[in-house]
Amino acid sequence: MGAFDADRQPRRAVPDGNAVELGTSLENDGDVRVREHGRRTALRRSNRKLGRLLFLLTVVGPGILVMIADNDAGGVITYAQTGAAYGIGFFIPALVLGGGIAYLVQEMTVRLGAVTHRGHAEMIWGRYGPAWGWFSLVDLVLANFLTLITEFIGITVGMSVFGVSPWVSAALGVAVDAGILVILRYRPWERVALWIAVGNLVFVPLALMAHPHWSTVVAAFGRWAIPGGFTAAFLFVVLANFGTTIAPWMLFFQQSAVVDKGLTVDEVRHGQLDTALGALAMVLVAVAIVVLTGTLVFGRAGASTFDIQQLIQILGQRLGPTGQRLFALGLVEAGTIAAIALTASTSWAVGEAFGWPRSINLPARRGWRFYVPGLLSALAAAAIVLIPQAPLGFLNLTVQVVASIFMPAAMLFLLLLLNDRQIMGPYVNRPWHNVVAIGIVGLLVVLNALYGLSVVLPGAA
Amino acid sequence: MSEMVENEASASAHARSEAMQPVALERAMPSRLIRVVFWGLRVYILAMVVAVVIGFMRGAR
Repeated sequence: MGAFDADRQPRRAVPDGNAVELGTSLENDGDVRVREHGRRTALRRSNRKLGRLLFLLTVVGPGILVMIADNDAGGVITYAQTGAAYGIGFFIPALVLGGGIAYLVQEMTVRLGAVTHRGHAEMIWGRYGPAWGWFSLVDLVLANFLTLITEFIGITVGMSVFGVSPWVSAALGVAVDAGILVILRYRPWERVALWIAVGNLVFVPLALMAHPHWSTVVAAFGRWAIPGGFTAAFLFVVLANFGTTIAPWMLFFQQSAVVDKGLTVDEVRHGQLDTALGALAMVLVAVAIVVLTGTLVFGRAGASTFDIQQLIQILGQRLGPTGQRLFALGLVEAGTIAAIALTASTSWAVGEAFGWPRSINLPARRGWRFYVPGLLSALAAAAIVLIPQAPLGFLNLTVQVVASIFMPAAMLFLLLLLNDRQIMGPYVNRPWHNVVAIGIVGLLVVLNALYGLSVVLPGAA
Repeated sequence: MSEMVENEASASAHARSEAMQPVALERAMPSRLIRVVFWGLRVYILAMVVAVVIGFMRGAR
């Protein structure tokens, strides 16, 4: 630790939007971070069990948020369609594997954020130059914007079950997203987002309501059989599921959230625990959705081509109005929590790239430049959903293509940064970490390339 | 006494603030292997962009 401190470079002399300054006013985002860190440290040092429990509850946040937000509206739809088309078989163990991969990747962002106190966008910009910086920023902002559109589609579809018009649903979605981002400071923002994230668990009781054959679920882990053989359609679904498990925005979001929360190197272990809990919750929910539709929809004529409206309708027939409403509520929640994460991710990334003050602790008047990019993207995404005959299928396809181009680059930068001893010191990746991470990067490159090709050239893959 | 507590709190806050300072950023000097990987990445991006253009042109027809 001492050697690491000694090796550290001198601090940047130019004004830094993320630097912590003390003693100016309580409105200073650095002051808020230092105060919060002090509060956490006091709880951590507490001899009482209650104090330690409170510390754990205080330190969790970025990891759970990023993983739950990954079960977004598009993810819920993908998992539901997967269960409907292929039942309970190959995909349950595949989702568990995907959760492990997501943990290993996201854990690296915790270390990177806690050690450097800089977001992913500014690390790429600063270490690898403006060309790769611009490439990453444009890709991220574009992918976030297009993904936001799919979240608002989920929100409007889910709310339509309750008879709410798309205009009202989209306006409410933007109001919640923008309201908590602009009005709340980081800690209350994170707490409100975590409470919304709890709603993602609604799919677990829904799966129980479906009365699945648990022996089939357990047997799926032992057999790992490919239902109907290895076809092009099956490959497409595998790639779509992996595509939803780990996405570029997740790297940027969690690292920026770790920085904004003010996690330090002595809290890395707790950040990793937060990420592991999030990965567990993500897998639990994803498996629940596959079990739900795998039990109630799989085997019906044309099940492999059902869209989300048809799936909601069938769930209503099988589970009654309560089950249908719970599923719709889950879809709305999934869209909302992901919209909250994506909006913050866009604001952080743009702020980092341009060196603006960037923190959810900033009051709106002082940090307006930080808030504007995220808010504009949310507003525009909600407006596009309301355009009649908008080419939503085309937009969804474009999201997949942008992500497939961007993901290997984002992973490569993550790996390079985690092996950069000059900035990571003793927190650099261990050899086994690199072996696993390079394997994941290789897998992602191949899957993303195949996915991108299968989307744009359906006959090629 | 209270002055001592205040000083201690202030010193602790400064220590925490120091622990939260962003690291300095300088351009990395990539090794030869990394430069080759970067070129691989450029080729991958270019190939994907070409595939996207072809795919969208086919779709437009």
